[in-house]
Amino acid sequence: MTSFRFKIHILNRLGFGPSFTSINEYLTLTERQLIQRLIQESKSYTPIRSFDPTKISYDDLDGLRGFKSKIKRKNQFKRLKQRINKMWIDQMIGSKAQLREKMALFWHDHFSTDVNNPRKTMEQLNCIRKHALGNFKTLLIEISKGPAMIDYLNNKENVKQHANENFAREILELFTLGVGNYTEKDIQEAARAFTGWRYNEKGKQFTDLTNHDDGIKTFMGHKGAWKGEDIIRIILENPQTARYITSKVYYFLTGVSIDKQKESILATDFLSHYNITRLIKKIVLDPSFFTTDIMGTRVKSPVELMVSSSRMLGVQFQGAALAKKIQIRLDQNLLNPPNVAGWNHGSSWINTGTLPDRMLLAYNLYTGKANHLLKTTEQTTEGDALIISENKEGIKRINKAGLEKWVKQSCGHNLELVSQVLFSCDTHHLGPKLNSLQQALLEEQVSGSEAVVILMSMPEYQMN
Amino acid sequence: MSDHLEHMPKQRAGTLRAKMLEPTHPHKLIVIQLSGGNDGLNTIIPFRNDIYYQNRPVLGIRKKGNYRLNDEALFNGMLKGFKKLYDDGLLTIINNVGYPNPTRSHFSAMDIWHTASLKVDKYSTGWLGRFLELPQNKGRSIPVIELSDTLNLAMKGKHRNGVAVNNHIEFFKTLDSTLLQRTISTGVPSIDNKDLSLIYQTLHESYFSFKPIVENSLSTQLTDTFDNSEFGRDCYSICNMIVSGAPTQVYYASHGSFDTHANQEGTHKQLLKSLGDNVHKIVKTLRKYDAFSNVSILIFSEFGRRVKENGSKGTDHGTANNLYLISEHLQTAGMLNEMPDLTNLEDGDIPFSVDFRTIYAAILDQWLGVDHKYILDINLPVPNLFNVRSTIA
Repeated sequence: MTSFRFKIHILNRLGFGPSFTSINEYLTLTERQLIQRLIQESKSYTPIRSFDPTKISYDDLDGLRGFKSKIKRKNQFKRLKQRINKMWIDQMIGSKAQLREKMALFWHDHFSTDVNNPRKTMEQLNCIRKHALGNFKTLLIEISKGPAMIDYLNNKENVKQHANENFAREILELFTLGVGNYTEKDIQEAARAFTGWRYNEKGKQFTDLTNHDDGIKTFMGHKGAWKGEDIIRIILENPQTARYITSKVYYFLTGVSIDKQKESILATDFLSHYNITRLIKKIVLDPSFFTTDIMGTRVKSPVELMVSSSRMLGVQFQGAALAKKIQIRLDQNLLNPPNVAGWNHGSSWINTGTLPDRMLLAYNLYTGKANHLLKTTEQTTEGDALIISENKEGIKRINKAGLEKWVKQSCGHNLELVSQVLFSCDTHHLGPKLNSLQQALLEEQVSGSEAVVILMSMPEYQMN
Repeated sequence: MSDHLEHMPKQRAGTLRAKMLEPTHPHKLIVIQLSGGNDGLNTIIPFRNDIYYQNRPVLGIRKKGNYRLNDEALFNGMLKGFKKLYDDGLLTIINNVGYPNPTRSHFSAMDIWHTASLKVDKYSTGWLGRFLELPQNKGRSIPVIELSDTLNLAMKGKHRNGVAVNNHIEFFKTLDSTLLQRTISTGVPSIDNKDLSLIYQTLHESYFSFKPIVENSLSTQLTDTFDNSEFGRDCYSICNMIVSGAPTQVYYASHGSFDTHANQEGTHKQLLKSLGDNVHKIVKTLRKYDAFSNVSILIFSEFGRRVKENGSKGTDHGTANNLYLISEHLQTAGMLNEMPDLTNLEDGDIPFSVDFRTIYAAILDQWLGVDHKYILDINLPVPNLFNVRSTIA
């Protein structure tokens, strides 16, 4: 086992994998330096701004001035949402702040939300991207108070006489404590505390006192006239929240479940500061992060596969439709999660219907055949119908020459070396296949970049 | 209730007997989902009902040019295909199908129909997914298939899912491509990496389970033409697989979108024509190859539409709706129950009188030959919809 493999592993898990334009520079660093470097490069944050948000109000009914009919407005909303999706994918592919975008993907899944209003969507995504490596406490509070969440989990409809439990249930079950760590009574009491949560015309949260239940609530053993903020404070003081988030972040980075002892050590520390970067550092600087049961054993999510392939091949998308089509085809459509629990992970990404398309993604991008996807129409009900009539442009450019040069000059046409960049799993079983491909390359039956695509079409590239 | 308890023992005895008789020809089911909420009132038209016309001054359909069904109802004139099936005693129409406290959200309603549960949560599985996971389907090759890019919740199980392919022949061509054959041809390596191993296995299994189906399909080129829509192509694929002897028991296709909020008439006509023509074509094609006698077709939509038309020449989301069953073995062909009661609307919508889950239960018990108790969590009497009992589980 070489240190080379460790570094590829770091690039895979703390970002979206290597790109041939930056790999050489990263390989000169030690593992520790590489981790520090990736954290350093993610310090900066630039909000996504794919349209002028002031043109859209927070009121869904009057959300977009200048569009008379409801259908036209709805379509415009979808179009704008699609542009946010595209800008985010561009960041994942091209940004130096790889760790930030990677963790934003994690938090988007964690705080899974789907609302039609593009302004609310864009602001929630930027909130996630801004705090992705910051403080979990701040992140939780800002997400809970954002118009997107207030809409999505019905706090907007949460009133004194008829408390709507949706947000109260999910903040406990999915965002902080995890299922089984509270009672139904706790949910009811928390829901009462969140009654009256609204946002004003500037998107700022406030408590509408006429709809707020200011009575005494008993929440997880604490008695008082709690407000929503108090509930969040009590949740954050509960060590179970630190354990739950620690174990989820650990699973995301390692692909394996955390053991109780490790969880206890990491969570105790996390509880004292809720600093996400510090938690990540503790996980990835530990020697156990570099064991064979972790490296190359995690199935890439569809977005990770699309982004890592695009980085490796030097692909840039032109319009918003193609990247979105690929996401729908492979079943992970960002900003349109399946439900409040987000996506399933691990082996559930492997299924008969999508596997061949996953396997041929690199080939379809490289040859431009992926553009054919733009001609297909989706059967969707109104919530996620695509506006395919525009943004029809497919792949903007693909840097074949650069890839060719990298295989030749940096790797000396040595496919063993190329495969080490592409795969972080154990590859002993590939021996004969690599040999025959190497032969084909030397006899010029395939070019260097074609050999890369052939390697990327092997099951090993589905893993990271 | 008593009705239900009575036929359970018979069911089991029948199952045992059948297993010895004909183990390779189970009953097949084709499910057709009308996505977006089909307007049942303009599909089967209550042409004697003044309330209908009062609520639909623009969209109400008159007698002329439409097919008479009985004293109370017309078939929409676009449903020539359904009319023919009806005349041949192959169609049952069940009115007022729904469930308590209906939701008017597409997604929630579809989830309810897919899971056959009124409480859907993130751990939910589909009714056909649970069917797929019954012990008797273990080891069977592709028992449930959806003609689509992505699999819907109806066919998702806890540990095993149905297979979604847009076109089984194209899907196989992908698997058969040079690039993937590099992997498939060398078999499944013995490696410790669990999920990597699963990828090799899945590719391998897909290839070898689709290979015979596709080879047979290719040698059984049907000359019958379906209309040139995605739904028409799906119907062709289904017939092609059934005729060529695919082992698959449940086929699932979608048609739509029926979400006609504005300018409904033209869109709805076009969709109904395609529905009637293609479904009739399925029956005709399968009969020609002597393959229809063990096939039934279920056609449903997640909800009907509001009785009163809206201001944009369209209709909004409603609740209870009609549902269609097509088979040679119907207990009661024709109209099974009363037409919608437009005098007693609930919030402007048709009240339900038949719980859709009892129809699933009847299909499971009587047609697919499995005890619905293993699949549906209901305690309701199950209607008799078929005049044969499944000969195999």
